[in-house]
Amino acid sequence: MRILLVEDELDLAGIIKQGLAEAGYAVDMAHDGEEGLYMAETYPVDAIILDIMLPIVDGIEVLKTLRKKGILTPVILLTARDALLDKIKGLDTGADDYLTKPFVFDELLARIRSLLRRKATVKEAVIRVADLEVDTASHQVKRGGKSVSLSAKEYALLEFLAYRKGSVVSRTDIVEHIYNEEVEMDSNVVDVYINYLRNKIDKDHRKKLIHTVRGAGYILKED
Amino acid sequence: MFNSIKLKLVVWFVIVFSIFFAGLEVFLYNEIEELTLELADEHVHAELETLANLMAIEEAQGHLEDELEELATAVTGVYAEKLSGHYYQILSPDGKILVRSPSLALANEFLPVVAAGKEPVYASITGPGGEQVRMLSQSYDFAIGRLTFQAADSLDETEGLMSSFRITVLAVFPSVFIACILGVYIITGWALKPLRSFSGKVGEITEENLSERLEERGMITELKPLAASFNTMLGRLEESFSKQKQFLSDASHELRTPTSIIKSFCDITLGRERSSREYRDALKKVSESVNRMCDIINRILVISRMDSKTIQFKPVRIDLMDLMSDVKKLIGQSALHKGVTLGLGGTGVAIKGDREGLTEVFTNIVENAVKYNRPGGSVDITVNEFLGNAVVRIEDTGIGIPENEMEKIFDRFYRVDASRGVTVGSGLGLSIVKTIIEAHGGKIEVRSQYGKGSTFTVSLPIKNGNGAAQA
Repeated sequence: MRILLVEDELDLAGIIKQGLAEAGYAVDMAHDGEEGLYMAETYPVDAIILDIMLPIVDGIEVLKTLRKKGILTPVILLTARDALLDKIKGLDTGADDYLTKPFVFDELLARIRSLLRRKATVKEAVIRVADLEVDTASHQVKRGGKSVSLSAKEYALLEFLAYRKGSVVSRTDIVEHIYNEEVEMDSNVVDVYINYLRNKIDKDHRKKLIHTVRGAGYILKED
Repeated sequence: MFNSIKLKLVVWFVIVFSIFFAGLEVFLYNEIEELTLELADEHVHAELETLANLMAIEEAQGHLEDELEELATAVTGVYAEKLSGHYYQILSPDGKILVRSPSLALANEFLPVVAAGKEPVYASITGPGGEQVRMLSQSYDFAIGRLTFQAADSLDETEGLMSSFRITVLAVFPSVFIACILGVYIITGWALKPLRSFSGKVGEITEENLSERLEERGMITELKPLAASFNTMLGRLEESFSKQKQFLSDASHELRTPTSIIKSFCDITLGRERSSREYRDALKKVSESVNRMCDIINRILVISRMDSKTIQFKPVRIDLMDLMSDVKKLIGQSALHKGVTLGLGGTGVAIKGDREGLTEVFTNIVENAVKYNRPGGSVDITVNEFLGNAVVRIEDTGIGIPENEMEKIFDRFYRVDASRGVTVGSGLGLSIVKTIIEAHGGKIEVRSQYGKGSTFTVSLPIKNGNGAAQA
């Protein structure tokens, strides 16, 4: 999953990015409203964390412009103000959630997961495909009740497929949503990671879950 | 309880009423007593005159001796009864009693003998029957010599009148008194009713609805000034309350950013095992944020102490040229770092002021001038004397201040860089600067051209000392 973080406080942005990356997200960063708007329009991010007090263009303006342009990416507003009016204004402008600084980082993660679920067809924190369980909260993966150990990137890829279970996902989609702008990706890398995943999830099981759709991409499904 | 208007009014009324009523009673009593005595006097005088006239008529007819005898025995009416309270006696020129009324004779009593001239002599005495009597003695000249007539009438009737007057007064007074107290009590309560409703209305106003005001229209005249001053007070209270609120909310807002940084660093760093380098880096960031918080808190403290006027300025003689060169040294390093030239010129001007406070003032301004400058730019400081003021001008070639933000730069927590991505300092700076300068009786002005630079001009009165002392 790819997240855009728009925050002008450099130290704060840095550590949040680190935390998100460690949680398996690909993170793009912008430090002012203008840059944030450009990135939100340009990159296929899955969620935006948007500070309200931003230089050049403030967060509310960014949000307004995005929604006007029909970009419906889920947005979590981040602000140092907790006045009720600000919350109402933010939510009415089209924000999906609201978090007041200072916040507990785990809460931010939980809210991001909740937003991603809302967009996807699955509504539970644990996504199930046959006997495969992907716990999006703890990042635990089980196949047939047995725990499977995945690297961060492998997990991110599996989660991406799991959120879209039953649908074909193209290689480009995967590249765009698993990696941020800083990584120059060859879509062949996707095949490599899919292989890793197959080794860990499907290899010892008769029923295969990760399927290749020739010319289109991959799909995670029971049959 | 004893401090109630009602009670005081009642007590005062009772005191005044008692004095007045008692005085009136005493006056009336005396008047009536005098009046009745006069009546008694007239009565007894008339009796005496009758006797004397009778004697004169008899003498003219030559029967004076007979008449005297007859008077002593054959008199009827009240004079004939023993100790009836109506008496007379006639004395010979040598003071011997010639005749006495049967009322005296029957009891063998006499009136006390009084030697009297032709003028009537009145006296209140104890009569023969032990009763109070009014006695008149007067002499008349006859052929046989000067006869003294004495007549006396009982004062019992007068006494009766007076005592019934006394009884009436004593009986009536307490009931009138109680009725009056009750009346005053009720009237006072009624008169104080608007005050009660006033205080009720005032009591309804709390910090939650400070914007409400008392309705002065329809209020009774005496309470209007009170309502007006109460409303004025409410206005001031509301203003200071909202200022306080704003300050508190600004301060907490300012503290949120460093707190968020600390919190995020802690949350994320502690989320898994890290290398000591990572821990060190995180701690360094935390420490930077803590320093920033300390700075904000210190400034908040300074401002709140200035607000409550507990900061003591110690006015000493300061040469502004010396002070500015100290400031220049202080900022020199960061100016060099930024590539900004710092210049100082002008003449030395001595003022009286607080060294620490003024150092803070000029350090702040010059620091800003450097901070918002561009590499290769300059900050020029000049010290001058102008019309009794020491004038320090700090001119920079920095980014300047947009016109719409000029008014706000002295606001607490305002940061000219808030919309520019540079986030150093807490924003309390210029607000403190202004407060300190005003405490010295001086003022600060700023002119700026956006994109070209700003000029801050601080003027401080030279013959000062009182301004700083007051602060």
